Amino acid sequence: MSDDPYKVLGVSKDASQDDIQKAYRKLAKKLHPDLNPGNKAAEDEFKKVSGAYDVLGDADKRARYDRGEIDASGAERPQREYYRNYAGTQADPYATNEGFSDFSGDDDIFSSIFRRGARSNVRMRGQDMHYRLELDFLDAVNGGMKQLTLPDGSVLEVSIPAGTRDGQTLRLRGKGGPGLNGGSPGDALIEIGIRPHPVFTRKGDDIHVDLQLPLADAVLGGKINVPTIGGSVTMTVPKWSNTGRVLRLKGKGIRRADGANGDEYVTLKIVLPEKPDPDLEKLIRDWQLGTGTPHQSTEA
Amino acid sequence: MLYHEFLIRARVEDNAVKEWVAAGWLIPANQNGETEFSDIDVARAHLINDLKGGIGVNDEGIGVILHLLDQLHGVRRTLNELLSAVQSGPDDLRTRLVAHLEGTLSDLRTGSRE
Repeated sequence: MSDDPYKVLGVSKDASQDDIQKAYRKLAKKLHPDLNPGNKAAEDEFKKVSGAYDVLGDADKRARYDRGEIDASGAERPQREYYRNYAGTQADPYATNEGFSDFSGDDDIFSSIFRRGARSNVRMRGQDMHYRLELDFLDAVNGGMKQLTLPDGSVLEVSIPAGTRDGQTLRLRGKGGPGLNGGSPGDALIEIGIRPHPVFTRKGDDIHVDLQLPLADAVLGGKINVPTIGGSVTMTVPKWSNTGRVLRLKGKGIRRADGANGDEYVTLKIVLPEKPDPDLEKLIRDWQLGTGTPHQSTEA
Repeated sequence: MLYHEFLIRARVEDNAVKEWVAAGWLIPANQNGETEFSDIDVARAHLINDLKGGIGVNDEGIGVILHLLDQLHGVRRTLNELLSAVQSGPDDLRTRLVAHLEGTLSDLRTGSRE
C-alpha cells in the first residue's frame, strides 16, 4: 500500500486537515465494507482509503510523511474483521426478518419460512374454498348483505360492495378450510355472477338505458321520468330531440371505490302514440303540404 | 469472552459499552444472568466506532443505520437459504425459476428506460 495518500483521498498537497477529513468521510460512507455487505471490492478500496487517512488525518504523521520520514505504508492497520463477516449467519442474533413482514399475506407458507422460527414447524394455512353467488343486477350495483348457503348447510354472510362486477371474486378471510398445526384457516373465494337487467346495461362505471320518448316531448321538449339505479329521476329533454340522441345524467352511475360516481347515459327512442290518432295524421299531412315534401312512402 | 477481553478487542471504554447496550446497538448474549460478548459483538463495536468516529454519523443516525443493516442481513440470509434450496432442488425448478427471473428482470430494464 504505497499509493500516494493524497491521490487516494483525492486532495491536494496543501489541503487543510478539515478538507482531508471531509474527503475521507465522503469516501468512507461509500466504501465502508459494512455498508456494502455484498461488495468484495469495497474492502480493498476502503483499506487504501483508511490507510491514507491514517497518515494524513493526523497532522504530525502527515508532516513526517511530507518530510519523507515515513512512507504511506507505515501506518497500515492491523488485519481486522468486519462486521459483515459475522452478520447474516445462522448464529447472527442481530439479523432480523422484519423486512419480510409485508410479504404476501401473513399465512403464506413461504413468508412464514422467511419470517423464521417456524423452520421445523411450518404451520399450514387452511385451504381456500371456492363458491359462486348469483346476484340481481341492482343488488350488485347498490351493494348490501347476502346469504350464501354452503354445501354443509352452514350459512355465510357475504357483504357485497357497491359496484361489484360480473365475474369478480370476493374474498372472505378465514372462512375457508381450517388450518394445520395452528395455522390460520383459508379464505372463502366467492365468484359473483350478475343477472342482466331488463332496463339497465353497465359499461364500466356508467349505466346505459334506452328511453321511450313520446313524440310530443321529442318535438316540443319537456320533463320526463327516467329510471336510474337509485330510483327514478326527472330529466329535462330539450325540444327537437331526435331518436338516438344521448343525454347524460351526471353522477347517476355506479359508485366507484374512490367515492366518485359514474354517469348514466340515456339514449332517446321516439315512440308514436299507441293508437292511430286522426288529428295527428291530419296535422302531419298539412305540415307536409306546407314544407312541399309530398307524402310518398306508401306509393313507392 | 471475558468482559475485559471484549473491551480490549473492541477498543471501547466501559462507559461507551453501557450506553450502546442501553441504546440497543449491542445485544450481548445472556447466559444464566451473565452477559456474554462474542466475536460478532466485537465486530459490531468496530462498526459503531467507524460510524461515530471515522464517518461522523450522529447517534440517531447510528441507530437507523444499524436497524437497516440488520434488516439487510436478514434479507441476505434468507436469500442465501432460498438460493441454496433452489440449488439442491430439481433441475426443472431451477430452469423455470431462471427463465421467470430473466423475464421479470428484462421487463424491469425495458420499463426503466422508457
